Amino acid sequence: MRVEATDGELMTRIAGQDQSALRSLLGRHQLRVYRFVLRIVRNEAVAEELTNEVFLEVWRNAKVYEGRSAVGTWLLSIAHHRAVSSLRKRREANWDDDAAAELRDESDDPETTVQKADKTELLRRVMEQLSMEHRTIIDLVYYHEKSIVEVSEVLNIPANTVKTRMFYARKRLSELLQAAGVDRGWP
Amino acid sequence: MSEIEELMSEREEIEMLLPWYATGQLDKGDAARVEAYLAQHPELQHQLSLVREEQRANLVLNEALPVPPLPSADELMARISGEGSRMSTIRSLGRALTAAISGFFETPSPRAIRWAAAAAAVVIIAQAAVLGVFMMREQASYIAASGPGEGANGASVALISFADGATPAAITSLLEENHLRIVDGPLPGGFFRVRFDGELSSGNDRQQLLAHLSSRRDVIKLVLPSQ
Repeated sequence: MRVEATDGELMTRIAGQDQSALRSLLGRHQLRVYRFVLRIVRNEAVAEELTNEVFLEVWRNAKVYEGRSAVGTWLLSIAHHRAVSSLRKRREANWDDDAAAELRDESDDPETTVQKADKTELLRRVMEQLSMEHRTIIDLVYYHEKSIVEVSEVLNIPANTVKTRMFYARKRLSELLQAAGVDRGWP
Repeated sequence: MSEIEELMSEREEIEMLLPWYATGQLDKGDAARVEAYLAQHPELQHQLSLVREEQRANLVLNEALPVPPLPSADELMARISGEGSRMSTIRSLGRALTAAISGFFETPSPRAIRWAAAAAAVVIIAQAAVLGVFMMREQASYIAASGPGEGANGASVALISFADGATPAAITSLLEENHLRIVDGPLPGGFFRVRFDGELSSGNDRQQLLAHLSSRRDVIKLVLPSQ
């Protein structure tokens, strides 16, 4: 039976310029990295470009990977840094299309939202209205299932900040639901 | 700090840990601390159920996102080329990456393959063992949450979680009756992505299938639409 190489083994091989190892790592993590970035930048073309940059960085810097964090966490850390830098640059350049899209999301009519009877769908829509920081931490915890320490590594913030940021993101979710007419009984 | 402040502080701390408790990402000490608090303060179970709702919604949200388009590989190759790598290396890596992306869309992921093996075992092993396999976490080799090919061809119809009392035989039977097969999982929240192996001629067909699956409470706990 063929045993799959671990992510760490792939990184060692990539450091030795092994293309097949990069191929394996790409197949394993590309989708998660892309979706993580896409949720931050909200633009498919930009997300695609940034995802490529993440794997390019892996190719260039595999030798500096020290294995202190899981490869998946390291990739998300690179992805987060690049996505946030990209957002900053675009805002500085007054990329009005994206700003407008974000504003439209924020101003989603609560009445429209509440018409979505299904609770999951309603929550999903409300999650789209969260700030970038809150969206990101919720994705890292719920979708990528990262621990407090791992989220701390990806976002480069202290563990206590991770906990409070997640708490306030959830609180904001409840407030948005309340504004849409749904009382969750918390906070 | 007064006693009341201390109690509030403990509650807030536990509330902050709930999302990681729900996803199984707390260390043993913190997990035990949350469990003990929940046992003493059952009213906090409500908040735990809210956390699980949030996780489910977040899964649906992320699973509805597109898969990276094919040109990514070409783009990546052009960038590597721009860095002055040796041409032979570039050509080789280009083929490798293109193959990786193609394979991404054409073949089941290793996770799906692992599931296929687990599914075969479903018929002959005890449910407890099966559920154990389902819930096994493999963080180190976690594969992309969606089987990429499934998202690309649109044949994936739903994310489902199985009822606690569902027998392996009942699961297998329900999947076969409805021409469904599991192509990926377990996903966050214990969900599995299922693919319909027939033809759904309209959105109504899809809705009917989802409604039918939802009605099978004996086997399926929850059905969520998927892209």
